[in-house]
Amino acid sequence: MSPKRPLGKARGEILGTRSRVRRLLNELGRVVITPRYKGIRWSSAVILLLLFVQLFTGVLLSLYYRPEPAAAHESMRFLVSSVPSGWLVRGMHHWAGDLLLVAVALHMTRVFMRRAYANPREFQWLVGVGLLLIVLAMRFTGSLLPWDGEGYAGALLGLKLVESVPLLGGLLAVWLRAGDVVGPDTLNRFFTTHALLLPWLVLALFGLHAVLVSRHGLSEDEP
Amino acid sequence: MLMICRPDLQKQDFHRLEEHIAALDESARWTRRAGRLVLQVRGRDPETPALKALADDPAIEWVLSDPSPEETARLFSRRDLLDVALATTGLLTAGCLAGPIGLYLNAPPAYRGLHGDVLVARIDALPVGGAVSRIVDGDDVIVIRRNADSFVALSATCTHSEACVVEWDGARRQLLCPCHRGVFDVFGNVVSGPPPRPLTTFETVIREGNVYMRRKR
Repeated sequence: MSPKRPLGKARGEILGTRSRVRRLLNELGRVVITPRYKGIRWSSAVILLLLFVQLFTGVLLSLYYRPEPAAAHESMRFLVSSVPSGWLVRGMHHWAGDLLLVAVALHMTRVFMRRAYANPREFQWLVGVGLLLIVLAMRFTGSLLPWDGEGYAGALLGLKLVESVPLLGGLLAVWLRAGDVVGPDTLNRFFTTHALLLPWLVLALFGLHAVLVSRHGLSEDEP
Repeated sequence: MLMICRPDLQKQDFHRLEEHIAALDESARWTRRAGRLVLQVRGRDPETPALKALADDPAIEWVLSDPSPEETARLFSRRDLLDVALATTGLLTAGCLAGPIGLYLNAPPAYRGLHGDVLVARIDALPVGGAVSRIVDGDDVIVIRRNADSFVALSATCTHSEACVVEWDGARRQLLCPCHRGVFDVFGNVVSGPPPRPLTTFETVIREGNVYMRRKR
């Protein structure tokens, strides 16, 4: 028994992907676990995990969700009551969204307390603040989508807050409402923002954030 | 007999070793332990010329002619074990998730077989001449209140093109299909336009101020 196989295939080495995956995993592992483990280092890993959960369950929800006022609430009711695991997918998307905000808050508190935003990581901090704003915007736009009383009241209140943003607030609120009052088109705008516009922004900024972490290293690893 | 290769093994070294192995008539097996390529050769007589040639190859760094269990165990690194454990956990998790996700993706056909009545409207929330859209078992249904105590439940899927959903026009008291201008009356009969058949009608039941729709088996 002498299997004749080339060296490259000794253990799953196909087109060099294994070594590349290994390098990526090592890099991730370096961010998550180090011998100098102190404080809540896991916040970045939890945020990454929750982002994946949100992306995955969001795609699953969009299979049944209908962004029309006449059908939105009904489609969610159908999902929760009749689709197998529908309640689970909806619940995961809901709670992972809340947990994401908690994890982001812990992460930022820690970076702030450790002065990890300081030179040379100012840009990283700014990208992170951008990510915070987008996550908040996703939470806000997502809350209207079930088209129930709670979401509607929340949207009215939230749009008032958006309006209070200096300079661009008024324009942004009109764009989000698709007019001067909350109506059927508002739901569509919120859906587009929540499911099509912001996820790409999150991915882009998160990628940039990760590249910057990989370039500058972690502040904990410095003496 | 275990032969441990140098860590910086090149492709040509590997091919040379393979030639040596081909010259052996004993069985040999490649494994990977602790990040090293390890050659397990059955048969322990190191005086065999072919085996000697293999053992003397510069690509072989370390030869254990009679490895003790401890030495063999040392070749299993903690990293190898963790790799295997992690991969197993991942595969198990993925396997456990695959079933529910498959069912989730497939839901409407699997749930066509449901029977019983479905709550579709509350009488006091639906004005006379008004209509409400519902999704029942994944299909669009429209419930119209004709008068004080008469309700009609119709499939809202247009019989002309199944991709289109008809809408209630309260002023004209007709159902309109926005795609190809099909028009139905309040009972779902075709008034004008391309639809070939009337809309499917569902039986309605009124109980305790609620309107229920009876599913078709």
